[in-house]
Amino acid sequence: MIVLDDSRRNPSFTLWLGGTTAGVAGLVNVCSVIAFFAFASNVTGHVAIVAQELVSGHFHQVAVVVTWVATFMGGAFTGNFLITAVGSRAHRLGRAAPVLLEIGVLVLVGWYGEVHYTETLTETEYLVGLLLFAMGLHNGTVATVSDGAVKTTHLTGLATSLGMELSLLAQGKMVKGSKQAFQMKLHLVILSWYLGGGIVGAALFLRAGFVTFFAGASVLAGILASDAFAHYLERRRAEPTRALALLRTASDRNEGTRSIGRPTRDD
Amino acid sequence: MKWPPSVLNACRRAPALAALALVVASLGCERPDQTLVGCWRQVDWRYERMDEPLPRWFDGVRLRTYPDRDLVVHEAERWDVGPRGAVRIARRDGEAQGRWRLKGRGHVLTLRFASSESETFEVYDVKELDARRLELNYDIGVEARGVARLSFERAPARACVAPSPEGRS
Repeated sequence: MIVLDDSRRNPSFTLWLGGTTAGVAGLVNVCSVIAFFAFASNVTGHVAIVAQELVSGHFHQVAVVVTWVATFMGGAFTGNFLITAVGSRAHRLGRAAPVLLEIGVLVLVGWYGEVHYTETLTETEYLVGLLLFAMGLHNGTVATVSDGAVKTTHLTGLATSLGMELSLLAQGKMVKGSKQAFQMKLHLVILSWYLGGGIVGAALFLRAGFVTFFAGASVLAGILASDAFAHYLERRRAEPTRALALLRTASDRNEGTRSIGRPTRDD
Repeated sequence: MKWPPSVLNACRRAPALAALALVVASLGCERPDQTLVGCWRQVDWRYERMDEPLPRWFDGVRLRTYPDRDLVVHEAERWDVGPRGAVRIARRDGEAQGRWRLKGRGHVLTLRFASSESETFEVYDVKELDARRLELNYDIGVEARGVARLSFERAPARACVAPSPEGRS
């Protein structure tokens, strides 16, 4: 879904990509709220908080939240950079790298939270920053590979788009099978999977604690594994065709040799 | 209207200058977890944003105890907030020892008290925290919508040494 070539992607892949990645985003965000009382995305809210804390004169809090927003942007930058710069030379590596990085960050947060976290404010600030980086990376990667069609942590924009699409549907202006109809379906899938991921994340975190982040990392690893398996199956299917093509080439070369008069067994 | 180059240059540099000013301002700031450490004396409490007038059995932040849970009681207390997460609250009826943590960007204060029977976990919004004042909002929640605002003043360290609290006037 993420590593696949764009030419091989179809609408069902886009729905699966949107749904699974939205589920991971919902899980991470809810766990961040429960563990740290801070959202791991919600950049809109964070920017509003910057304004509020600035007016209140709480400069430390302003610096913290500005840094958080910057790490989110840094994550999105890193995701797009890896896909476009590294991907131009090694397509699959460029697309897999940001997902692997996000898996690493989630595993790191889960491990640190489970083993070392003593709930100091400094630790909280750094861990939230890491999660914001992961969510920026997540959003940037998914948006890049889907050409902007899927943004899994941007629910403000999604709710806006969904509102507009429902308006068109209510007026009978939405054509069945059109691009708009597909977009609406995609937005509904993303919203429901985000909510589902949040519910699962909350239930898991209240029982299992920080190991819940490993669950999110596992889903991302599963997406990469499914892409790798799909690629493997394609190569297996292509092998007989490739072998046949090689035989034909060899046969054509032999026929070409006979036509210029070299002696054969028949002669 | 064509702006002079000096104005345009200043506008281009403004975001970077603002960010630099912010970094410099924040470097000199005390962190909330440092500011919170010390002795605090509760001086006021009030309810805010209540949906309806309070019934007679409301007294301060003391609420009726429900069978399934005990609600928070904080009234005319002294809070001794230690530097390593320990908190001692001197109450009318004795003393409680627990653990405090700041969460989020330093805007949420959690208190955890463990007794032989149960563990109490309290969550407050830190509305104001500076060298002299601490204001906390506690969401009363389920049975009565509204917020209880607890106001504290910084007290000298010796005020937190003696465990017996002052009564409410």
